[in-house]
Amino acid sequence: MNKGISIALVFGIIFAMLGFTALTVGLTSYRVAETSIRTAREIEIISQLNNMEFLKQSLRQALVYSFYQSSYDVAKVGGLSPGQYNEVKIWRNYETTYQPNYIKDLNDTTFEIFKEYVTALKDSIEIPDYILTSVKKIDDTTVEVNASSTGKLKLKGRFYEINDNPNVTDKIKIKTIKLFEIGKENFVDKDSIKETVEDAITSIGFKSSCSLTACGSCPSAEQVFSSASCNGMSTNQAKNLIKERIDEKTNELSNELTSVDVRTNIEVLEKQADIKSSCSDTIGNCCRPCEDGCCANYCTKTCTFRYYGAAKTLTSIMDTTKYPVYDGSNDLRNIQLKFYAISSNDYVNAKLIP
Amino acid sequence: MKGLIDIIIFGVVFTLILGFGTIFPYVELNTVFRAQTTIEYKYSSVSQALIVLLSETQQDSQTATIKPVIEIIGEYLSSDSKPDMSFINNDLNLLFKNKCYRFSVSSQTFGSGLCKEENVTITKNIVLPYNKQKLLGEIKLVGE
Repeated sequence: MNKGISIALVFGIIFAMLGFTALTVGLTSYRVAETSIRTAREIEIISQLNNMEFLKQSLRQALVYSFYQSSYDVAKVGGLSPGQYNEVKIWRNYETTYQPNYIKDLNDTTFEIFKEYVTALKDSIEIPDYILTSVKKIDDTTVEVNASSTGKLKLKGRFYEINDNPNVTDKIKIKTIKLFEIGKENFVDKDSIKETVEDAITSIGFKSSCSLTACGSCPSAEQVFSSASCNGMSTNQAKNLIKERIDEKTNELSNELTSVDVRTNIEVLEKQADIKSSCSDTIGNCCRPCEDGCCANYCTKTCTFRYYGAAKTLTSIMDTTKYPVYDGSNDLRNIQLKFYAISSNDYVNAKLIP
Repeated sequence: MKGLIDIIIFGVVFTLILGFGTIFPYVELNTVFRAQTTIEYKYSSVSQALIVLLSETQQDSQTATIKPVIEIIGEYLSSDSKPDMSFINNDLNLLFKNKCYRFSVSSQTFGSGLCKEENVTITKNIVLPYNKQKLLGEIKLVGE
C-alpha cells in the first residue's frame, strides 16, 4: 500500500467520525427540539385547561347569581301568574286561595337569567345551549341548583380539542324556599288572618246575648247592645275596638312568624268590622216597676249579637341575609316574599272587604 | 499530493458544513422553544393562581357571610357599596410565595412591589351580579 492511500484512509476515517459525531449531535438536538415542541404543546393545553376551568368557575357563579336574582324577582311579587308578572299576588281572597308554584317559578326565572350569562360568556370556548335548570331544597337554608345540557363545552386549537361536561351544580345558602313555605303554610294551607280576626273578637269578651226591659215602647237593638248589662258601649265603639284588636293581633302574628333568620311583617292595609243582631220582643201588660214608677206596659227585648271582622293584609317575609341583586341598580338586598291576603272570621256573612 | 490536500480541505469544509448545518438549527430551535415554554409555564402558573384566588372563600365584610372571592370581587365591581378586599394581598402573598404580583380590579390595585418586565399578564372577564346591561367585568393579574 503506498503512502498516499494510507493518508487518504486516515482522513477518510476522521471524516467518517466527524460525520458520525455530527449526526449524533444532530439527532440529539432534534430530539431535544421535539421534546421542547411537545412540552410547549402540553403547556399550551394546560393553559387551555385553565381557561376551561375558569369558564366552569364562571358558569357556576353565573348560576348562583341567576338564582339570587330569580329569588328576588319571584319573591317580591309572590309568584309569577301569567300576565301579572309585576303585580303582588293575592294569595287569599276569603275562601279562594292562590297556589304559589314557587319551585317552577324559581326554576323558570333562573333558567332565563342563566341563558343571558351563557350568551355573554360565549367567546373562545364553545358553550352548548342549556336545556333546563332544576331547583331543589336541601334544608331550610340551602338550595341545590343545577343547569344541564346535552352538548359539551369545547375548546379547539391547532393540535388539540378539549371537551368537558357542561353541567353545573351548586349548593346555595339562601332561604327563598323556606320563605315561600312559611307563607303557604300560614296563609294558604291555613288561614292565619281568619284566626287572627277570631282571636281579636274573642279577646274583647263581647256578650253574644243580652236583654233589656223598657216601659212603653220596645228598646232598640242598639240600646240593648250599649246597656250596662250588655257591652256598655255603642256598636260604633265596639266596631272600632274590633279594628284596634285586629291590628294588635296581627302584630302578634308577625312576631310569631319571626325568627333569627326570617323576619315577618304583616301590614293591615284595610280593616272592617260589623255587628249583626237578631232580636225578639216580649210585651208585658201587668204592672211592672220602671225607673219612673210603675207602668202598665213594658217590653223586654232579647238580642243575639254576631261580631264580624275582616282585614286586607300585605305580608312580607324576609330573609335577613342580603344578596347582590338588581332592582334599578345593583346592590345588596334582602330577598323578600310579598303577597296580599284578605280574610274574615266568617267567609259567608263577612265579606266586608271586596 | 496536491490532489490529496484538496480532498482533505474538501472533507473538513464538508464536515463543518454538515456539522453546523445539522446542529445549529436544532440548537436555535431548542433555545426558542425553551424560552416559549418558560413563558407558557409562567402564564399557566399565573392563570392557576387566579383560579385558586377566585375559588377561595372569605368573609364578606358587608354581609358577614362566607362567600367565594369571585362573588366578593363581583360585588366590588358592580355596586356602589364596596366590600373590604384587603384579604387579597394576604391570599396572593401565599400564592406567589413572595414573588412579584399585581392584581387590578377596576381602579384598585393590589401588589407586592415592583415587577420585572418579563412578567405575565392575565386579563379575564368575570361574571358580575345580574344586571342586563353589564354581566361581565374585567380583572387583571400580573405575576412572575
